[in-house]
Amino acid sequence: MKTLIVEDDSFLLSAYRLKLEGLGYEIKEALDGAEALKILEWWTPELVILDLMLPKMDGFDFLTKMKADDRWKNVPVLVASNLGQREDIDRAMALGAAGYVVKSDLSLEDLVTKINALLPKK
Amino acid sequence: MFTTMVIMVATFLVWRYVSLTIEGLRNESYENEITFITDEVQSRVNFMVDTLYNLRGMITVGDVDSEKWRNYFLSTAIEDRYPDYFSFAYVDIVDKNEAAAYENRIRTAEKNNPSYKSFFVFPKTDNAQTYPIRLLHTFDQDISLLLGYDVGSSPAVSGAVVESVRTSGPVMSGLTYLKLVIPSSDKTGYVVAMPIYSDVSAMELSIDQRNRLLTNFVGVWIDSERLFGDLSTVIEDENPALAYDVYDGSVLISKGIEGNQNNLYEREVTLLNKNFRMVFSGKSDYKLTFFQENLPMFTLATGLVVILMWYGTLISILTARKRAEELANTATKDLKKFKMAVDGVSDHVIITDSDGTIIYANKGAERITGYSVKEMLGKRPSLWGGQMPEGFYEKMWKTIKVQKKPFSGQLTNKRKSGDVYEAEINISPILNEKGDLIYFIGIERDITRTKALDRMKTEFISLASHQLRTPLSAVKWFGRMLLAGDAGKLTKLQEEYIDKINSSNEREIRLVNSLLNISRIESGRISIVPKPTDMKELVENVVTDTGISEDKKTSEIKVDIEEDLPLLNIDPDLIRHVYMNLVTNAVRYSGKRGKVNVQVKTKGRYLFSVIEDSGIGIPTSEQGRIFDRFFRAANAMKRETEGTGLGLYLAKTIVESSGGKIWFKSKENVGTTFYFTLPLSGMKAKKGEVTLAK
Repeated sequence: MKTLIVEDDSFLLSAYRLKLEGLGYEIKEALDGAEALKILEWWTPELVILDLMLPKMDGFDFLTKMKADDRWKNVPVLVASNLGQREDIDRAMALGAAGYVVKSDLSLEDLVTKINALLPKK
Repeated sequence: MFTTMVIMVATFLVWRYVSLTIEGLRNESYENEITFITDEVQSRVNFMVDTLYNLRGMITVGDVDSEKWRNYFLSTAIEDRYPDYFSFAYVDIVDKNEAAAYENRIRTAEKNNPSYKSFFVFPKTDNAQTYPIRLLHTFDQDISLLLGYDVGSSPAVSGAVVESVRTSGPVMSGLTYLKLVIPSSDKTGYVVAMPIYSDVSAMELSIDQRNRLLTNFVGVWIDSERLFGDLSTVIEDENPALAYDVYDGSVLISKGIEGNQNNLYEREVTLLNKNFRMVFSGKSDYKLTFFQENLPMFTLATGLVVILMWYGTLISILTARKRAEELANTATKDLKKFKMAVDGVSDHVIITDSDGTIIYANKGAERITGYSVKEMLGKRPSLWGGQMPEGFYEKMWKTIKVQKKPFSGQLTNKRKSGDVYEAEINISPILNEKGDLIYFIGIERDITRTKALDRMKTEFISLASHQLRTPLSAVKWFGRMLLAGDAGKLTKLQEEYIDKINSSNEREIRLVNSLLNISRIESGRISIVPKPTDMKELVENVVTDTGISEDKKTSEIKVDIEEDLPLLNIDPDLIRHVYMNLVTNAVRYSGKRGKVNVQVKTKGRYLFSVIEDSGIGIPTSEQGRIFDRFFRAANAMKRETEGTGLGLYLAKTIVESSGGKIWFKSKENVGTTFYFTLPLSGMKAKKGEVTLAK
């Protein structure tokens, strides 16, 4: 599955890559919202895993812009952040996120389970 | 003071007037009485004279003997009117040398009358003529002895007789002393003599001719006391005001005044030809009517009463005025206090009329808005407003003006300098008794800094949580991947090592979570979202989860939840956290063979929960600190090093914020029981910005 991962921590990025590619995902990485948008221009993923605390353009901004664009507004976005505040969750969900997880609370396996739950078709 | 003077003077004047009037009254009654008295005396004399004239009339007509004489007096009403007052005498004129023959003649003529048995003329004098009393009408015992008395022998009487010849009319004698004739008698009196002529026409003749016709005299004698005294018949109410003495010249002939003479009045009284001096004295026991007598007193008393009443009124007026002044003073002081207080608060306070026109602004308002009080008066708060969407102001106005309810909110305003600031506002409408809007009171607090601070805190927490958690997430994921064999199969030892890394990491994650929760709680930003919660389900879930997560150390967990617990309006996340912490602790410290009891039931107005374990217990010396942040009892530390020391602190904070209480009982090596209550009325919703981290 084509997955766009928007995350600024390099360790976490490599963990994503190791796990998900190991499961057969096709991964593209963006370090910030702006870069992610640029990638979207020439590559439409089936899933976006989005961190919120990002430099230059944070996750919320990106989400807003992404969902505003007809081309990829229907691509499911799973917010994986270390912010756990209700406000953040609500805001993300209100902006159209399909799901929200707190990274430090779950393992990558759990993450994969979550993805499967979000996307029945694989 | 002036009025008192006036009243006093008035009272005095009235008293004076009344006294004088009373005195006048008294004088008047004195005068009246004097008049009565003198009139009466006069009328007595008049009566005497009238009688004499009547006698003259009778006698002139024909000769009179004792019988005729007697009959005359019987036919008159003299005795009715003046009983015993007068003695009447018929006097003959007899030459001295005919005296004896005269005596015989009379004795003979009156032989039927025992009184004349020894009639003779006495005393024998040397006078050429004698004037014996031939007929006598008297009731006086002493006078009755004077039958035959020669009145010429009395200088006083003969004087009157002589004078009466001269005047041809009645003449009163001077004072006569009966003693001179009747030694045993003390009586004095007066005689009125009247000449009798033989012809009625005598009065028309000249004196000399008349005197040739002189035949007899008649006279009347009256006792001095009788003449001037005994006036009880006159003074009707028998309350004589006066006592009096009567003087004939210098001789006191009638005495009435007893004791001291006061209020002396003198009157000259002329009876016929004689003058008397009457001296009147007010009787000390004479009283006007009670009222009249005491009128001056009454007047004074009235005056006094009026003054007292006046004073009373004055005092109550002054007191009332003083009280009013005091009240006004207090009110003014209070008002000043309030004004000072309001002026001095750092918050912005304004008062507007019902249209929103500013009528008062305090210094705080000046400071915050940047506009001076003068600039604000007469304007509306929109002067520093207008930064919010239209709807905001509409809603605000509707609440305060239409619904007449207070409005609270946060808004952005603009200072005079153009700077934008955040404010918390409270606007209260003020209504009068009829419910009409009369004022608004607007209080603003500049929360820009507070908000900025809050923002900083939020950002810090966000940053902290993110920055701290990210590396931990990385370790967690890689660690788990390693264990999962994603990087190849591990040796037992490698597994062991990685396991330890993971555990340590988990601990760190938990610590960060707890720290985050605490900082959120302490910043007041934890949101409380109460919803009707099935406590049974919640607790049972917690127990199940604990069993799963702590399965290496499973004890037997017994759950006893009251049937039909009402749905509690609580924030399930927060309360779940409490149960989770307590149950996890119970299991953790009880070990494999331990027993854990969880009981939930209603008790009064509370939901009462008990978590009992048979664990290591809390040493007495450390029980006081068990709820402290980061505190871990020594025996717990030894047992397992993983605890953060934050769980109970968090649990306590949540329970207490919910309106409940948490406490425990513990004995080392026996076990610990934790109790906590939650009000059945539920938790209050609190808008917060964060939720608990897991």
